[in-house]
Amino acid sequence: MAQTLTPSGSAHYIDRRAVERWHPFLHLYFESMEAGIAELRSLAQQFGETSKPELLRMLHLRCHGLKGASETVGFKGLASLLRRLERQLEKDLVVPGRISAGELIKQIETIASVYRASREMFGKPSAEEETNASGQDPRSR
Amino acid sequence: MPAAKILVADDEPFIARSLSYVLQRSGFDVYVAKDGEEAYQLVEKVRPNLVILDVMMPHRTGYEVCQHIRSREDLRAMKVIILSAKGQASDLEEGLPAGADAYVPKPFSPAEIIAMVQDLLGEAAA
Repeated sequence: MAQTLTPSGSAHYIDRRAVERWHPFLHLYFESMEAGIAELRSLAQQFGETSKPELLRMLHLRCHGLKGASETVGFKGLASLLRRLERQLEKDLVVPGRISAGELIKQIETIASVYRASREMFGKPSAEEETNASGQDPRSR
Repeated sequence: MPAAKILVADDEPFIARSLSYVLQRSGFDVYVAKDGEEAYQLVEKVRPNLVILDVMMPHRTGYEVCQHIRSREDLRAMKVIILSAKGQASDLEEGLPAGADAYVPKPFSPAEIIAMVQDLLGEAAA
């Protein structure tokens, strides 16, 4: 039985130094996370009673990418939740049927919830902050 | 001297876009591939001076692209940096035998990447 993830104090752990380093690019991270969570949800809804290897591989790859991005910008708790889901999907690729569609959707919603909380904490940097941090507005490129 | 050409290959849009931005700001001519197959094609078409490859990408892994570059005499001068989200010793063991010049575990900072690129490109740097 796959372990269900629940938001906890550790799930919200943030490396503030990393967040500061990447602050001018946080809006790109948020865009990527929102698209990624929508893709995970869509893939999970196609996940039937039987694991489909191609679907699992797509879920695993997306989960892996979002974990790396979250780790990079300093959202460690979120990265940890994504890593745990990634590992469960890896196991399911070897022995199919370990994770159900319901459990998968529940875990994705937990990740989405922690993501929303992280985003609310930091929000979107102002154009002035971005310009000051990098000398040029990344959104203008 | 023309700006050095850099290919960034990562299927995660945030990593590709943010790296592309900081490298362009440092004066490099940047190309982006969203998967291993596109990286394979752009290596041939663009002939970049340096390639930054994520490990896990759709269609072809970063290791496969790196091995392809190293197998070709006409591409051997190309510098290769492998990025990995795993950050495990096994990645380092696999990445360097594949022929990479450097291995960067995620998380990394924009400054680390710029310093590594400039170090590897030396006089060819932008």
